[in-house]
Amino acid sequence: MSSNLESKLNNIKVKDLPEQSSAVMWREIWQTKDQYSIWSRFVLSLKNKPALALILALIIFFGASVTTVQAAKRSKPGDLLFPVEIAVENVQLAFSAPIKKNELRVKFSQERADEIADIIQKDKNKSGDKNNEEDIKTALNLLSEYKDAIQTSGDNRAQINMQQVVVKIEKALNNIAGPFELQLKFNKNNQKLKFRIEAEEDDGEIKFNFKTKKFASEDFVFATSTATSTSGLNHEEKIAICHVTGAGQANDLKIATSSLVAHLAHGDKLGECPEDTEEENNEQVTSTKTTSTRSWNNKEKNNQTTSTSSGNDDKDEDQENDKNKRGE
Amino acid sequence: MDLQANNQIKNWLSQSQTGSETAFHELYDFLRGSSFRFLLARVSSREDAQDILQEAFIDLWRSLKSFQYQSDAQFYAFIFKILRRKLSKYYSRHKLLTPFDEKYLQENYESAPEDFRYLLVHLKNLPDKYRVVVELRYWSQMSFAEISQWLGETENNVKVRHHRAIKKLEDLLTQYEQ
Repeated sequence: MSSNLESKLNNIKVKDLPEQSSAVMWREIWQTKDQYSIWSRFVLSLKNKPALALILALIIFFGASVTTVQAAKRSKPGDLLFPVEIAVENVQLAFSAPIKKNELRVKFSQERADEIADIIQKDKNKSGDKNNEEDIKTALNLLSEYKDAIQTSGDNRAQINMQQVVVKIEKALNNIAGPFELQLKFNKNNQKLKFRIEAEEDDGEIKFNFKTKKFASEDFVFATSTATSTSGLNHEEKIAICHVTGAGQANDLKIATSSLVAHLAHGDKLGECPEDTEEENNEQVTSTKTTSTRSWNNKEKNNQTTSTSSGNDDKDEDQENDKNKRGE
Repeated sequence: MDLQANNQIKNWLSQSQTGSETAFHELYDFLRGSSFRFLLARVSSREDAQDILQEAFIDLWRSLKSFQYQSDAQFYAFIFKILRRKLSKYYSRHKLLTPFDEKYLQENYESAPEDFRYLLVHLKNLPDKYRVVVELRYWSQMSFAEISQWLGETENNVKVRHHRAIKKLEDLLTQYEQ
């Protein structure tokens, strides 16, 4: 068969270029052989000018670096170039005069605040996104460093400016859409239950939804109706956090929103502590004025309720309630 | 291509490098036939083959100044590299090649086997190192010695590849018939 195929292939006769076409082609070749594009001429000329080639290479290198730095300036936490931006800022701080350092720190804090607002705004409907929480935390940690440095320096003017930045961030954090949500698990008479509280700001009021479900079931069931705080939001509104002490203990705390940023910066978490990390004797819980129809025993050791209060007036009454829960 | 004329290659090259139009024209006449036929096996139209050939010779002229002649085989391999580079650029610009039809066959082939279109299709499915041997042998009408110089391989290697190429082509055609 090979000979059959080879003989077939041997039958192939290609039509060559006719002489006339060949002559035309030759003229084209000879006329255009030295016609380089402007760019090609320039590049070829560099072969004889090594110094110029080196200068161009350096310009291209620095140009690319500047472009990267410029792009990094527009980055925010979580972006690929964000570390470049931080590195550039650190270089600026290192080489700036001491009198200018705090100005730069306030400026960088302002940028962090804008970045946080950006992240929140873009992800308004996905407040549970772990990546964005990490990014916000990164920005807050950097902010905390700048704040500490400014405080250490004793520069009052910078501290005031910094405080304004902090207020801006708090506003941004308060604008996180969607409810705050807390889930707790506990045992009741050998029944494992999940308890979920959703808190949502609505037109100056905080609304709470309490839900329970058994571990085995898929759906949460309403255990109660919505409860509402009695007065509107203001700067002194309390918000629940899990406060981590210097000794590594975790306690539930109610703090003013104005101090939220500072607490988050040193490791505290938004919302109450998980059940197994809570210290009972450090608990400062205030309950809402609600008509909850909870079916479990309030005196249970591991029972927890969470709420916010609009002011300090309820504190004594709530502490009294805690004593009752503990059977004191 | 006439191997005996190769004694002139070195002279043509050295004269072309000094800017001689006559010498470069001799090189052009010497190489254009086999180069054009090889290109025709690879592209979908006669005009494209002519364009690539023209660009290849312009590139050859521009590279002559830096080319240092060592042997005829080295020069042929150099030319072949230019042609392959041009083809590569062509393929990047032309993602879809025009399918072969009767008009294409009449335009470019004086004679061809009856099932030539199928042969061309299956030829494209061969590994490139086999395909190029077939094209240089049957399109460019080169001997194994000439092919070995263009590819920078030994003549024995070229023969082995040719044998394997024919075998693979037969298998492809047999599978198609079945």
